[in-house]
Amino acid sequence: MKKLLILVFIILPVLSVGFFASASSYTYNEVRNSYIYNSWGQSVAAPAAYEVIQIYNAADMGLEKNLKNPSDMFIANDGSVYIADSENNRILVLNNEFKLTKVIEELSINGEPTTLLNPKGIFLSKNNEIYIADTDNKRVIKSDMEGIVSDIYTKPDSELYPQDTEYKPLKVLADSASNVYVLAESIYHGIVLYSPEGNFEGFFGSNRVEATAKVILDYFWKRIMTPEQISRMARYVPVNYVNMCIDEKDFVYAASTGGQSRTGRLKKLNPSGINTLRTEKADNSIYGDKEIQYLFARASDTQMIDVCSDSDDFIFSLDSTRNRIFVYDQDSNLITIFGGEGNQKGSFRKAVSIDTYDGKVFVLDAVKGSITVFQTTTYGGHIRNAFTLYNAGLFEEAVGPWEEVIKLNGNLDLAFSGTGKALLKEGRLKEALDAFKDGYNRAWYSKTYKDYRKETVRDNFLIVFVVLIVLVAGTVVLIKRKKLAAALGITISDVSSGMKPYRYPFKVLFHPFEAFEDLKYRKVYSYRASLIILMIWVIAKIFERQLTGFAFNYNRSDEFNIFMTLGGTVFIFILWSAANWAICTLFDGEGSFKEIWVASSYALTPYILSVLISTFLSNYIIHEEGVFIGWLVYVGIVWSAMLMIGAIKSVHQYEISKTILSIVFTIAGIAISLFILIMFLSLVQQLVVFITSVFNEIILMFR
Amino acid sequence: MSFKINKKTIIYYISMIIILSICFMIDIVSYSEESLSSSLSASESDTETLSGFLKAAENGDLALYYAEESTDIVLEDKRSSNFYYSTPTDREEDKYAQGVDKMLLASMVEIDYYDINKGTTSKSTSYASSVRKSGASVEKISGGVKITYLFERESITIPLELVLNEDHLVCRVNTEEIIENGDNRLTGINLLPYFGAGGMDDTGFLLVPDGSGSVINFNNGKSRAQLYSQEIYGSDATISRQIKKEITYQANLPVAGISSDKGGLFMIMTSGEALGRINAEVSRIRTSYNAVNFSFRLRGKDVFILGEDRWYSRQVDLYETGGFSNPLYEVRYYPMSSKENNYSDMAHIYRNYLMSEKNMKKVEDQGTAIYIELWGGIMKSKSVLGIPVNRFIPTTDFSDAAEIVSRIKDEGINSAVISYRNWSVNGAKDKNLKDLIPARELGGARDLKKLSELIVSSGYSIYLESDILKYSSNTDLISRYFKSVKQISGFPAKFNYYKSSTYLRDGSKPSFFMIKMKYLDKIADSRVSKTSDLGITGIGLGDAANFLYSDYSNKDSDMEDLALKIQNIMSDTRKKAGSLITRSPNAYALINSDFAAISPSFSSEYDIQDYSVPFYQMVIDGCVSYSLEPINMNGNPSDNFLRAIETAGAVSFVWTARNNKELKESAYDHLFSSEYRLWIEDAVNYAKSIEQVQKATDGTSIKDHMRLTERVYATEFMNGTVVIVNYNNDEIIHNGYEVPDKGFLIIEDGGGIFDEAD
Repeated sequence: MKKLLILVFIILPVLSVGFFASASSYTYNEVRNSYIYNSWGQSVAAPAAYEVIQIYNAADMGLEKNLKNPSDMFIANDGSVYIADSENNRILVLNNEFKLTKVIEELSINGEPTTLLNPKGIFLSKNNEIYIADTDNKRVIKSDMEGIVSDIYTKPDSELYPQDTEYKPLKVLADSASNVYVLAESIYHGIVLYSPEGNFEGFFGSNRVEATAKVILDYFWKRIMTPEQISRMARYVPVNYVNMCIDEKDFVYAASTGGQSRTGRLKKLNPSGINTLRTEKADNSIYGDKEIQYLFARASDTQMIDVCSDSDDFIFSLDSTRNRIFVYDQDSNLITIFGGEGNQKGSFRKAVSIDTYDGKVFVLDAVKGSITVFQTTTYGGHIRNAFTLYNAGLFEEAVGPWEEVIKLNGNLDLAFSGTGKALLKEGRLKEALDAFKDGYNRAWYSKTYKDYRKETVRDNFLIVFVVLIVLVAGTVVLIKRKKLAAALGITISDVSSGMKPYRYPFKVLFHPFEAFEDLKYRKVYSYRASLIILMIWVIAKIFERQLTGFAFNYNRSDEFNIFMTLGGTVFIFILWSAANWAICTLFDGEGSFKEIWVASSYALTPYILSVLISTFLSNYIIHEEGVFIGWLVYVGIVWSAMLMIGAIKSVHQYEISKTILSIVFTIAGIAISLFILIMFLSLVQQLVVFITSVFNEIILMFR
Repeated sequence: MSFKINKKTIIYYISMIIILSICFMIDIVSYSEESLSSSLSASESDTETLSGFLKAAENGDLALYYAEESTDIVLEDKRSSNFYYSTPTDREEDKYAQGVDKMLLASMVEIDYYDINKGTTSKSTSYASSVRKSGASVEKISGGVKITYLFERESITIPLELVLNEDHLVCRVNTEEIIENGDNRLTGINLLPYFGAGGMDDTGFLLVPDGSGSVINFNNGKSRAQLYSQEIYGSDATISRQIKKEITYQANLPVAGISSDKGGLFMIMTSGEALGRINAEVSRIRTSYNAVNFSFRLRGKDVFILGEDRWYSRQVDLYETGGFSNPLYEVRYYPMSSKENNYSDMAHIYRNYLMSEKNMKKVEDQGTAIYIELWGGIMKSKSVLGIPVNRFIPTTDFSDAAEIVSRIKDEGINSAVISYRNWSVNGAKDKNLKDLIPARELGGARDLKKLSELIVSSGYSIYLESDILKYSSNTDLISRYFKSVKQISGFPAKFNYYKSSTYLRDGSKPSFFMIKMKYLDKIADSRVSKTSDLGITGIGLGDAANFLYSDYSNKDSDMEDLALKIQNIMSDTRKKAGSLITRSPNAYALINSDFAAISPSFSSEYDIQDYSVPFYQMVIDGCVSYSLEPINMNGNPSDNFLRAIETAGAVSFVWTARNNKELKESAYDHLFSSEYRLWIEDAVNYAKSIEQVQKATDGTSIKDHMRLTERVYATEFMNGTVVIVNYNNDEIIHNGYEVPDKGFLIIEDGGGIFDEAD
C-alpha cells in the first residue's frame, strides 16, 4: 500500500508536466493578421473587421509640398476634412473627395493680418466656426471660413490657473452652447473651459491621482521619509488628458496617457464632467492591449493618443505605441482591433489622429503624411450590427447577426453571450446555459441556472421527493442502529475496546480531545492513515480547482499545474510538521515527528470534507447562494484549526497557552523557511543565468 | 579504404558521361555559331556604334554595347529598336538624388561588406569606389563582356559577366572569382540597380512578385513610402528574430519587371535566387527614377543576444564565416517590345522559361472548382479527472469527410480536390521524424481507404498532407542536437510563431526545430510508402513548398541547396506516389505540382505598391491547377471568391466537422471559422459559379488582365471571354456593362473591353 501511494505521488506530477499542445499550423489570414482578446485576457486570432479602401497622400490631395508633422484632423458634418499641418504653419481644408479647397495660413484680427505658428489642434463647430489651437502663438483662435478672427482665447487670468506654466494649447473643441474646451500642455488639472464670451470657467473633468496600491504605499513611505528621500522619489501627477472629441449630445470623450494604472485611459464625460463610461466586467476597464510587450526587460504599453465616437456610439481610440485602433461599445466591450506598425496599407508609422464619417474611419499618419480610410468588412458589418441590436436590448433580433459573427469567428466570447441571452428569452434554457459557458458569462449563466434548476426540480418533483425521503429515512435508521454512528466515531462506546487506526480521523471530528489523548496514550499513530488523508487533500484541491461549478470557477482547466497544488498542500504540510517539531523540541514538547505529522493530518479532516462538499454543491447553486459555500469552507477551516490546537496540545502534552504560543512560532518558522527557500532559488537562478552567459560567450569566441 | 563498385553506379556514371558529352557537343555547335555571328557583327559595328559605346556582342535579336571608361552597358532590342541603359543617361539632371544616391545611379553594382576586425558594415558603389579610381576593366568574352571591378580601398575584386543568349541578356557573378584580400568580407551585391529605369516623364509600371504579384506605377507620388525590398522565397528561418511586426506574403517567384512606353525588361533570377532579393523604388523617394533590381546575399548575418530579457542584455552581430556557400548568381533580362509589355506578357515569358528549362508541362484540364482542406484532429490539453492530459481530439474523422464529399457530389459539383491534414496522431504532434499512420480516433486505415475510394469514385482527388521540414521542439536531446540545423552561433535554430499583439514569440503555440537536409529523403520516402500502403496516390509535403532555411554548420546546405533538394524530392515523390499537392508553392515547388493549393490571392500591400494582380496565376494557368486562398478564413469572404472568378481558379475552404468549440483556446485558434455545416451551402454556390466561369472560358488560360477602375478588374481568356469582377460595395457600370457589388460579369464575346485599352 505504501509503495502504491508513493507511486501515485510520483506519477501524478510526471503525467501533468506541461506537454504543449502542438500544431502544424499555418495561419490563413496572412496579411490582415488581426486579433482580439478572449475572456482570459489573451490575444487570439480573429478576422479583420475593417479594411483599407483608400489612402490619400499629398499628391492625391493636390498639395505642392508634403505634410510636415501634421498633428490633428477633423472631419465636418459635410465630409470636408480639416488638417492641422503643424510644421508648415497652416490649416488645410479638403472637400469630401479629399481635394484641397482652401489653405488657411493668414488670418486677420480686426483687419490686422496674423499668421499661425505650429498649430496643433483644429475643430469646426456646427455653425461653421473654425477653432484653431495656435500652439506656439499661445492662443486659441475662433475664425470664420474667410479667416476673419472673431475671438481669441489666451491664458486664463485666474488664481485657479497655474500662472507659472506657459500656455500652450494643444487641442480645442466647442459644444453646442459654444463653450470652448482646451487641452493645454503641462496642465494636469483637467480641460480648460471657457464660456462663449471667453471667460475662464474652471477645469472640466478634473483628473485625480488614482489610488492604486503603489500610490498608497508611497504615501505611507512619504510619511516616514526625510524630505531629501521624498524628493528622490518619482512624482505622481494626475493622469494627463492628451486628446478629446465631442459627440452630438455634448458628451466629451477624452483619452489620457501616463498615470500609474492601466484603467481609465478613456473617459466619456457628461456636461458636469463625470465619467459615464460603463464597464460591465472588471477587466473591461483596461483599454488598449491587455498583453504588454516586454523586450529586453523593458515594457511598452498602450498609450492612447486620440479618441472619437461614431453615429452608432462606437468608440474608436488610437494607440500611439503600436499605432492600433481599439473599438469599444458603450459598455467598454472590445469590438475589434485594427491598424498596427509597418509599411503596409492599413498600418502606420506614426498615427496621430482619428475621426469617423459616414461609417468610415480616417486615420492621419504624421510620418507617412497620408490619411488612410477604412470601411467595415463583411465580418465588421455583422459584428457592429449585432452589438447595436444587443446593446439596445433587442436580444432576439440580434441572433441573426450573432450567428453570422460566429460563422466567421468562433473565437469571440461575446458572440456566444449574445446568443445566450436570446436563447434565454426564448426559454431554451439548456442551450442558453451552454452559450453562456462558451462565452464565459458567469453572471448570466448563474441567472439562467436558477430558472433551469427550478424547471428541472419541478419536472422531476416526484423523483427528487422520493430520493430525499429515502436518504433521510435511511440515515435515521442507520444512526438508530448505531452501526454507522460507531463507524464514524460519533459515539465513543468502543474506545476502550480499541479502534482500528483509520477510524480516528472520524472520531477526532466530534471528540477531538478524547481521541487525540487516546492516540497519544495508545500510540496508534498510523502513517498509512495520514498519507491517505493527505492524498485525499490533494485530490480535493484538484477537484476544487478543476471541478468547481462554472459559475464559481475562474480557473482554466488546461492550465492546471500539479506542482502548484502539491506546493499548496503537501509541501506546506511538511513544512508545518518540520517547523513544529523543531520549535517544540526547544519548547519541551513531548511529541515525535511522527506524532506531529499524523495528528496534524487528522486535524485536516473537516477542512478537506468542507472543500469536497462545497465543490460538489457549487455545481448546483447560483451566485446569490454562493455565500453558503463560503461559510461552509469557513466552518471547515475553523473546525480544522480547533482540531489542530487539540492535536498539538495532546501530542506535546502542553497546556493551552503554550500550545497557542508554539503554533505562532511554528507559523513564523514556516515563513522564515519559505523566505530562505526563495532566496536560495533566486540565487540558483542567478547562477544558472551567469553560467549560461559565460558558456554562450565561450561558444561564440571559439565558433 | 576500399571502393565498392556495383552495377548501378557504373550505369550511372556511363549515362552521366554520355549526357555530358552530348551537352558539350551541343554547346560547341551553338558556341561556334554564336561566336561567329558575334565576331562578324563586331567587325561591322565597330564603326557604327552608339555614341560613346562599343559593340560587345550581337545576335539576331539583340546587341550589347559597352563603354570602356564608365563600364556602362546598353542593351539593344533590334526587333523593336529599343535601348536599355544600365545607368540612366540623364542622371546628371536628377534633382532628388543626393550624395551616395547619385553615385549609385552611375553604378553597375553596389556591394555590402563588413570589417572582420571592427565588425562594422558598409556599402560601396562601383562608380565611386572603382570606376572613378580606374579600378574597373572590361574584357570581351564570347557573346559579351566581362567587367572586373577592383574596389581598392575595400580590397575586393568582383567580376561581372554580361552575355547575350538568344532573346535575353545574362548577367552572372561567379563567387569563385571574387577576391577578398584585406579584412573586408562581402555580405551582399546589388546587380544593375538602375538597368532600364524609367524617369519622371515616362509612364509605365514595375511588377514585383509579392504574393500574387503587385504593380507599382511610375511616379505614383508615394514619396514618403519605404523602398520595396523583399526576399525571394521568404526569409531564412534559421536566422533568429526577436520581434515580428509585419505579416506579409512572400515573393514566390524569382522575377521582376519594368515596363513603359519605351519597351520593357523582364528579369528572372535563374541561379542563387533563394538567396536573392527584389528591390524597387519609385521617383522622389531617393532619386528621380523608377527602378527594379535584384540583389543577393553572399554571407548570412544573425544577431546573438547575451542575457536575453534582462536589462543588461547585449546584442552581438554574427556573420557567416569562411567562403561563399553558393557558387553562382545569375539574372536574365528579357527585353520586351513597346506593344507587348503588359504583365500578362511577362507571365508569358516566365511560363515559357519554366516549360522549356524547368520541365513544367501543359495539362489538358477543365480546371477544379473547389479545394477543401480538412483538419483531422488537433492536440489539446484536456482535463481528465482534474488532471490535464495532452490529447488528440478528432475534428474531422474519415466518416465526416465522407459525408462532406457525398454532399458536394449530390449538389452536382463535378471537380473537387480534398486534402487531409493532421490525419495521424504523430503528424498532429509534429513528430515528423517518425512514420505516420492514420489515427484510430478518426477511423483508422480502414475508414481512410473507404473514404479514398469514395472520393476517387466521385471523380475527385484526395491528398494526404504532412510536414517534412520541421519537427516539434518537444523532443529528445539526440534529435534536438544532431538532426536540427544550426544557427551562425552554432546553436540549434528554433522556429516560433509570433503574437500579433506584442510582436513577440508566442509561448502558447508550438515551436519547431528544422531538419537537416540529409534526413529529408528518408522522411519523404517514408511518407510515400505509407501513403501508397493505403492505396492513395495523392501526397502533400506540407510547407516544404514555401519554407526555406540554411544550415550554417554546413556550407553545402544553404537555402539554395535546400530549394534544389526539395525540387528533387518533390519530383521523386510525384513519380513514386502519383500526384503531388503543394501549398502556396515557390517556383521550385511549383514546377512539380499537380495542384497548387491556396495560391496567393493578393499581395502584402506595401505603401509603395499600387494594386495587386494575379500574375502568379497567369504564370501557372494551363500548367498547374490551383486554388485561391480560403474563403472562410477572411473577414471579407467574397474577396477570395472574386479572385477565384477573376482567374477561373478553384475556391478554397478549410473545414472541420466536429468538436469545433475545442479549437477555441487551443493552439489552433486560427481555424476560427472552420465549421463546415455553416459553410457548405455557400461553398456549393461558389463552386457552381466557378464552374460557370470555367465553362464560359472553356478551360483556356488567361490571355490578358487589367484594372478598369478602383477595385474593378477584367480578365481576358484565350477563347475571347472576358470576366469583370467588382470588389466594391457598390455596383459599377463599365461601358454599359453593369457589374453588381461584390460580384462579377461574364462577357462571352469579350465585349470590346480589351480592344479599346490597346
